[in-house]
Amino acid sequence: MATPEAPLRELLKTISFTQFPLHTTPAFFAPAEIPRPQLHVHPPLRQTSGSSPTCDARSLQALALLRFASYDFDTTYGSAPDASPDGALPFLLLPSRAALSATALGDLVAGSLPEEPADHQAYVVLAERNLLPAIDYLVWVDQDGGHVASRMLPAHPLVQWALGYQYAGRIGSHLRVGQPELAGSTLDAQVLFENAMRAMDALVVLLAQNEFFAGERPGRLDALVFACVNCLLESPVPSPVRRALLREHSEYAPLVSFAMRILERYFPSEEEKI
Amino acid sequence: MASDTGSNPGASMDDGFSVRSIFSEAMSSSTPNAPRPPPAAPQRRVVPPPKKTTVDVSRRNTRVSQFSISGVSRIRQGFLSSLLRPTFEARTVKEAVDEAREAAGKLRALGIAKAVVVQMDKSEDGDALDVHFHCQDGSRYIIKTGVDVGDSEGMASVTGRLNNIWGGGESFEANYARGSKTQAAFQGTLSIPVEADPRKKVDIVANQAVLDNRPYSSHDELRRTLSMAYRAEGRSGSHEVLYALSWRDVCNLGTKASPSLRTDAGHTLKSSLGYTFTCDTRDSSTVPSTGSYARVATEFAGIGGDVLFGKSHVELQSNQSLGRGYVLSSSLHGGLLWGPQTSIVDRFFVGGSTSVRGFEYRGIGPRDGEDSIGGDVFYAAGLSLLTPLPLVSNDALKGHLWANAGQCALLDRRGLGRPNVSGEIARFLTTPSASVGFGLVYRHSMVRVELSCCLPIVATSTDRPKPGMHFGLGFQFL
Repeated sequence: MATPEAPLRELLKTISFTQFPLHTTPAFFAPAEIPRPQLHVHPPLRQTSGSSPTCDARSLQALALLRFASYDFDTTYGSAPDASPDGALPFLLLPSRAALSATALGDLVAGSLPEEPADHQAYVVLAERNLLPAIDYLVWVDQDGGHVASRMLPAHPLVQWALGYQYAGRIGSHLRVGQPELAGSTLDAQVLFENAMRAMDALVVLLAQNEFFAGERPGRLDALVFACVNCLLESPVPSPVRRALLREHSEYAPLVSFAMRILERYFPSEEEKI
Repeated sequence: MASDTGSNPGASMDDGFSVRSIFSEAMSSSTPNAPRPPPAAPQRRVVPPPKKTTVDVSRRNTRVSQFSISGVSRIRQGFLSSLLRPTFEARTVKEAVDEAREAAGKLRALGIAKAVVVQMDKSEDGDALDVHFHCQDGSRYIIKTGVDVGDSEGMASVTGRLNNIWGGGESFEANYARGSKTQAAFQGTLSIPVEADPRKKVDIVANQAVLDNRPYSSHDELRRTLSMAYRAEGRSGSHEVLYALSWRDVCNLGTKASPSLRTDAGHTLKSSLGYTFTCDTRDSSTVPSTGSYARVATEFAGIGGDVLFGKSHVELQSNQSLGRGYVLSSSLHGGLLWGPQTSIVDRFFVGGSTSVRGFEYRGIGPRDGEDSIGGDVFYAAGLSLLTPLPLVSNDALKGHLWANAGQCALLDRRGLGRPNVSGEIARFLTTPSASVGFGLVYRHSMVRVELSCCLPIVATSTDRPKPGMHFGLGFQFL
C-alpha cells in the first residue's frame, strides 16, 4: 500500500465540518398530524340550535365562504387570535401545516365560487366599510358588547377584562381611521349606524327578490352580507340597525330572510361540533 | 477607653472600618518592698527586661448602656432598634465589639452610610460601654448605564436607584433595557430589608419585557410580571421563596410558524409559588478553579391563574484543581415540567454556547418545522479541562478541552408519551446529543469568553448541530 506524500493534508481532507454530526438518531418528537384543514374561529354566543355558529362576523364570513365552495374542513373553536398569521381570527390551518389568514381564504376557494358581476366588488367594499365597523363597535367597543365578547377570548377572566379594554381601544382607533368623518373626534356610534343603514338600503335593492346576490349559488358578497346581517340580528346589544331589521313590515325583511335561508341551508346543526 | 480604627480583613461587611477589641494594661514587675536576696559573689549578671503583662478584657463582663449616631441624614428609630438589639444584648466586651461591628457593616451594606467609624467609650456608670457611630452619609440616588452579556444575548441598560427611602435601608430600582433578543424590558424593584439585615430581604418586583424569539421560534413573547420574594442568606446557602403573577402573551407568529407553536399562542396568566436554594462555594462564578455550585429551583403554578404545572430545575457544578494550573470542571443540569398542558413559555431549552456546545441556541430537542418548541424534561452534562497555555503567563487565558451531552423532550403524546413509553424513556436517557471540542477560555473581570472548535458527535434528526468555530460570552457555562 502506497504511503501518501502529505498524510496530514490527506487527513484534513477527510475531516471536514460537514461530516458532523457523525451519528444521527431518531428524534424524540413527532408533531401532531393535521388530517383535514382546520378553520379556527371565535365561538358562538349561544350554543343553541338554529343560532349562528360564531359570534364574530369575519369568522362567520369565512365559514360561509368555505361552505359555499363545498370545501372540506373542520371547525375549531377556542384558539387564540394570536395563533393566526395576522393576529386575528379566523385562519385556516392546512394539512401541509401552512396557515392562511382570512384574506387568503378567498383565493383558496376562488375556483369553486360562482362568477360574480364586476359591480359586486363595489358592494363588497360598501359592506366592509359600513356594516363591519358597526358590528365591530357593537361587539367590542360598546361597553355591554365588549363585556360579552371579551369572555369569548381563551384567557383567564382577569386577562379577558384587560384584553377587552385593549381591543376596544384598538378597534375604536381603527374605526376612526376607517371613517374619515370620525377622525379627530369622539367615536360617534350614531354615524356608524347611519352608515350601516345606508349600506343595507343599497343591498336590499340589489338582492330584490333573488335567492342569492350571485344568482343561483351564493358567492363572496353573499358570505359577507349573511355574516353581517346574522351578527347584527344575534348581537346581545340592542342597536338601531337591529331594530330596523326586526321591525314589522320592515323594508329590510328580504335581507333577514336571506340570512335565515343561508343559516338553515349551510349551517343546519352547528351545535354538535362545538 | 476608646477604640481606634484600623483594617480588619476578616470582617466581611465592615471593610473600611474596624474596632480594636484588645484592651491592654502594662504592669510593672518591680516591687520595692520585697525582701532582698542575700548578697552573692560578684559576677556578671544579665538583667532581664521588666515584665509586661497583657490583660485581655475581651471576656470581661459588660453591657452597652448608650448609643449615638452622627452623619446620617435619614434613619428610622424602629430600624435602629432592630439593628442594635444584638449590641445591647451583648454581655462581654468582645460580644459588644463584634455586634457593633456587625451593625456598622449592615449600615454600609444597606447603603445608609458609605463609611462608619465605631467609637466605644467607658460609660460614666461603671463597667458599661457607650457606642457611637460616626458615619459618612450614603448616596441617596444612583444612575448608571451598563452593558450586560449572558444567555447568548447582549443587552444595554439604564438603571436608576433610590437608596434608603424610608430610613430603613429600603431601596427602589428602576431599570430599562434593550437587547439583541429583548426588544424592550422595564423592571421596578422595591427592596425592603427584614430585621435590619441586608442578608434578609423582601423584594417586590414589577416588570415587563418583550422578547424577540423569532430567530429560533417564530414568535414574540410579551411578559408582565408582579412578584414578591423573600430572600435569606444562610451559612449553607441562600434561600428564596417567591410568589409571581405573570401575564404572558405568545404573539406575532407570522405565516411561517408551526402548528405546535400556534397551539401555544395567546394569553396565559401564571400564578405560582416557588422556592430556590443556592449554594456557591466557588472561587469565581465565571471561571472557577475550586469549589462547587448547586442550585435547586421548584415552582408550582395553579394558585389562581389559568396554567397548572409543577416545575423543578437542578444545576450542579464541581471544580477540582489538579495542580500546575489544570482545573477539571464537571456540570450536571436537569429539569422536569409536569402538567396537563404545558406552554412554550414554561418549557426548557437546551443547546448553545452556554449550554451544550456545538449546537445552535435552543438547538436540541423538539422542533416543529423551523420552530424550537422546548421540552418538558431535559438533562445536560459537561466535562471541561482547563489547561495552562505554553508561553502564556497570564492566568486569565487558558486552554479548554470539553465534552458536552444533553437531551430534551416533551412528555405528551408528541414526545416520550408515545406508545412504548418505557422504551422511549430508556432511549432518552441513553442516547443524548453530544459534542466535543477544544478552544480557549478567557476570564474577564465580569464575564467568561470562549472561543471553541465544536464537533457535534451525536444528534437527533430534529436537532440543529453547528460544527465549527464558535464564540461564547456569558456568566454560566455548562
